[in-house]
Amino acid sequence: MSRARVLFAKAQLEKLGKEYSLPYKFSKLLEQSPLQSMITPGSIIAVKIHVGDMEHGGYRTIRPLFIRILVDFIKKLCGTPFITDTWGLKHILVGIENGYNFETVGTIALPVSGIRETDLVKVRVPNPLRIPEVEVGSAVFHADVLINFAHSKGHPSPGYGGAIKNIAMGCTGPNTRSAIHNLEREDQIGKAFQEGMVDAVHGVILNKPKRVLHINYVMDVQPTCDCAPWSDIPIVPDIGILASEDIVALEKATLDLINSAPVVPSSIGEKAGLRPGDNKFLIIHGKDPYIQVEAAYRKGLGSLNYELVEV
Amino acid sequence: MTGYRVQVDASKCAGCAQCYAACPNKVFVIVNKKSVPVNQDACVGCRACVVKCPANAITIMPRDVYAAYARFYSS
Repeated sequence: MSRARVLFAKAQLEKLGKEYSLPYKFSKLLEQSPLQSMITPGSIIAVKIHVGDMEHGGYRTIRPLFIRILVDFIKKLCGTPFITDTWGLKHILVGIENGYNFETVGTIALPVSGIRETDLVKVRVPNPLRIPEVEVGSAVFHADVLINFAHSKGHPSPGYGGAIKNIAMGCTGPNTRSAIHNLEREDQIGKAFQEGMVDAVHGVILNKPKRVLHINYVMDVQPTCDCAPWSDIPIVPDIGILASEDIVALEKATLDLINSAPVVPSSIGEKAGLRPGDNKFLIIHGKDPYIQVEAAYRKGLGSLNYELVEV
Repeated sequence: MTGYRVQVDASKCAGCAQCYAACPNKVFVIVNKKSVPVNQDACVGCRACVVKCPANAITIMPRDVYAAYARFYSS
């Protein structure tokens, strides 16, 4: 089995110099990524991020500087970028307040599926595990390239949320989200919910073969989601930024790195008595996050065998 | 198991029934021109009502979904 390439920009500063700092390493990662072959002049690039919670209680989201670096890189390749998130116009306005605006990131933010989440395209999911049809936000559906820029953190429903959850719940409409959340009633370990998410991912990326790059921002790895109206201190020290065309390899590499890391003192990780090597989000939330990774592998969305390439 | 607490701020609600129309699980009824989330157990947290509400009157908070996680915090 061939090994999928996962690029890794480490948060740790090895030497005193700007090129050893994460923003510069992230630029280097983008240069080594497949974006140069994906982005053709004039193409429209959707950058899906999570702009934070509606009540301004949560604050550990992706720092705008990293979005800016990505946007500038896309512009350098003569692509036309926009950032996008779900929940309609209200959430976009919240995102502007949370620091994602033209001045900070260098482009505009658009709702994934229109001002009231009604601009959706129905997509039939091939070989569905749980959901045969998903509604994909038109802004993402009609974009030439999708950059799935996710924040890796815990989540009470699937245990963990990263690249898979960012587009499964973040690029689809309310009916699809509702169908996936309904699956939480099926079992205690989040299996049905995670398999539903993977169907949604399949529907979102279906019209973009070789035109989706997945990025995990593995910093501020807080125990719960960016949508929660609170943030707690991270459970592990900052790891860095990972990227791959292969969503399975990327999510597995991210979870493996989080699980092998030590916990941050006085975090929930310490309160739960976690040690390096523990399946941390399974212990915290009672849901095994590897279910979504293995479900995506079973659907043929990627490889469990990866090679971590440090930039 | 899943579970959400749905709150409607009656002082903001204009009774337009957009939440009633948007909800895929029939959580709301309209009583005396106010929306009332009578069927909260059916809520799956999709937030379609929150997005539709023109008065910004609806709040959804996960309940049971945080049950396992809540053990780390004082009640």
